[in-house]
Amino acid sequence: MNVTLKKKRRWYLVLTAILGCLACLGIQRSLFCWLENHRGNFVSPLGLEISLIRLQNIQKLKGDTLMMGSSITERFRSNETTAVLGIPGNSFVSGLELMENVVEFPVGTTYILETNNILNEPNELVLVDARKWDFRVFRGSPHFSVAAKPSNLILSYLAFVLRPGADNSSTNCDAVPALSPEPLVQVNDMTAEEQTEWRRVIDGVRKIRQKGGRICMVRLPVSDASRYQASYEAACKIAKFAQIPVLNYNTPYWRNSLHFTDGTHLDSRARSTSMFRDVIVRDAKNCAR
Amino acid sequence: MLFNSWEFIILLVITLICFYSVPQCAARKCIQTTVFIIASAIFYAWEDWRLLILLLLSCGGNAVATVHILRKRIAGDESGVKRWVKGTVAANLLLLGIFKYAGLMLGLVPGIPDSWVQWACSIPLPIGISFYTFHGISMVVDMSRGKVHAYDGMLDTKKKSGLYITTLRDMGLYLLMFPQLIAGPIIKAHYFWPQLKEKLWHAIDWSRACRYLITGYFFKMVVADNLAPVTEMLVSARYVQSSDGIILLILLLGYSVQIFADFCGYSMIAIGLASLFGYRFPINFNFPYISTSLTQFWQRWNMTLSAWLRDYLYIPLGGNRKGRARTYVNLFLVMFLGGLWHGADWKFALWGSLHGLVLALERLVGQTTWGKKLRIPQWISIPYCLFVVCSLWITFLMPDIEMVELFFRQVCTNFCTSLSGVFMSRDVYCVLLFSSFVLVYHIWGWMRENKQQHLPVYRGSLSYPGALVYGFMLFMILTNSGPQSGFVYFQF
Repeated sequence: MNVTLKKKRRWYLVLTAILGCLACLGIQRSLFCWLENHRGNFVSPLGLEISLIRLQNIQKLKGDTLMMGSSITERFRSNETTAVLGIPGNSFVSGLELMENVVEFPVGTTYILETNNILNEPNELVLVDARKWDFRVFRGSPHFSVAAKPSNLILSYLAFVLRPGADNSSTNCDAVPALSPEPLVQVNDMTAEEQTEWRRVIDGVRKIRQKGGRICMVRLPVSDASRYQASYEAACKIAKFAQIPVLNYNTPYWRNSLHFTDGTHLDSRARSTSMFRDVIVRDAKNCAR
Repeated sequence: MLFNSWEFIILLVITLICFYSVPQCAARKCIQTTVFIIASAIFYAWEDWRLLILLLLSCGGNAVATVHILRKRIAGDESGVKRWVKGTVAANLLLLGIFKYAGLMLGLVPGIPDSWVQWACSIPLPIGISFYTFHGISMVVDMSRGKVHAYDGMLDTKKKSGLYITTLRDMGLYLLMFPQLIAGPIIKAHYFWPQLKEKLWHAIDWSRACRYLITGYFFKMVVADNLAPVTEMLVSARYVQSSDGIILLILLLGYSVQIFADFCGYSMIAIGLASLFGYRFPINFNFPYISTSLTQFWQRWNMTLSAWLRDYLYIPLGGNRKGRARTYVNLFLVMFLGGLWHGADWKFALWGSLHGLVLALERLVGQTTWGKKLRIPQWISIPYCLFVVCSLWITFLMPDIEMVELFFRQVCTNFCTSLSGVFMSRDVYCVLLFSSFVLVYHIWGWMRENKQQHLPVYRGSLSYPGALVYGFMLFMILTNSGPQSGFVYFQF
């Protein structure tokens, strides 16, 4: 083969590689559109991955209500009106840190704070990992963003085809009686030591208030009724101090009507989970201050 | 600086422009080398400029020793050569010992106060010290053995200072060259020195460079970086305790794939980058997971380290020339030290020792009369080797022996509580998806080795289907890279 032919072949090979790349982009785009048209979820159904996927979740948050807490909260899915931000092992304070400079909620938004892990220290791994992400050029792009990662799209496709998500069907929670806030009169006041120890939580509450948010705390049910009791008592003290209503869903009714995967976390695919989310949002909106 | 960072891409482009824009003149090689050294120094000192001091010390010391060894060798002073080699090797090892093993060694001495041990452990480990120390040793040993002849003619013609400067510059490039500075591959001096000449733009092997760069970045950014967040959960005792054994085994497989993709990816990027600058690095991985024995595995995994250990440790120890018992001892010793080279922790020594033990066993069996006749089919020997290698990675990964024990206990006592839970786990999906790329790569390697030429996948040179595959990998790098993380071998 002479030199010109060799050079020509080399260029053809480069062209083939580029065409292959473009063809893959086309396939990815089609899958993305298909999932979008069918209201597929672009994030992991279990949502346990940290960093990029979580940050992408944050970027997509919208609505007039924001639920924040640990992985227990994370099992609820975001929808058009309710944004969910749960970080495994963390309290709502870490969520606030992650949201900083990424997403802003309007004045009057209802903030629902999970009490179960309210005193947990932040997992630096989660925060550092998310802060590292600075490849913002393609944020939100249907080709290059994290939501459009081919591996995530395939997973979303599988989840959609094999296990239709609860969020794709509407829920009606009218039949469920409304829950009223716990009376906090009998709760002791916070001691000076506790005020210092729980400074991060108190500051977090103050920050939300500064943003013009209305707050309500909720205790989410777990199979073992006595679990997270200490956190709940601490949350009650904080609530009394900061004048926040507390809703306690850790009742036999909810423990029996919900499905837990491991005694603590709700099954994110169960229809009852999204109905429970809607109940919490309805009750919290009524009493948040 | 990481190969998968924007800073590096900018540095690379600027260096390439400066490197090849040197006009044709007598000093071209010298200027090109200097440009490369400066770029490498920026690359290395990006995080902490103080790291450079130690590297320059090593470079200067090895350059002076090289000149002295050359002089003694040319003069026929054998004992002088030996003296200098011993002294330089000892100095290199001392450097490594102080910065890497001081804490570990002091901990062994009875009666040493804990505060001393803690102080020794707190000495920061300079990145890549294991690699440039080995490079330094390689140069002085190769010079003493007469394998490097670059300066033989300079002794008479050049002035004393000129020879020192040339050696220092070349040594600087050899130790500092950024493609291999931090995690290898380990290039022997006699392989590198003949390549020290002026480089031309039109002589770049673009095909080799692009192929290695794309595959390397694919392995690192797509496979290893996506697996890292999943496999890192294995070091959490809480996670291990609450997971099914089958999921743990799948994650261990994921870790085996991740460490391969990470290190092989790094080596491939290094080879590709070196090709851009006209240098040819040896391959470091040759489809290790299709090995049929552990002996073969070490001929395919981190090949440059294995070759270094063979040439500069195993053979000087006597190799297999001093009887059967001594051969086993040598094998074990080399693997023990090789394990310890990976990190100043007894778990690495244990990992190396276990490899040494299995290697010795394989050799023992292979030398018996029935062992010589034994022909194990590949469908048994490849899974056997993969099983042994993956099982031993657990000692490499886990922070302590208790965790290793916990892992195996969980696998044995709680293997599978719910099969549907296994298939619904995102971690399992992630491992299976990204491992499949490495699996396909190894199947392709196996086909190539077994000359399955009737299959369309086998081609001598790059074909159109091959180009499509590279297009796919490029697409995946752009759209499916995982969270940016350092290379696993940086810590060594």
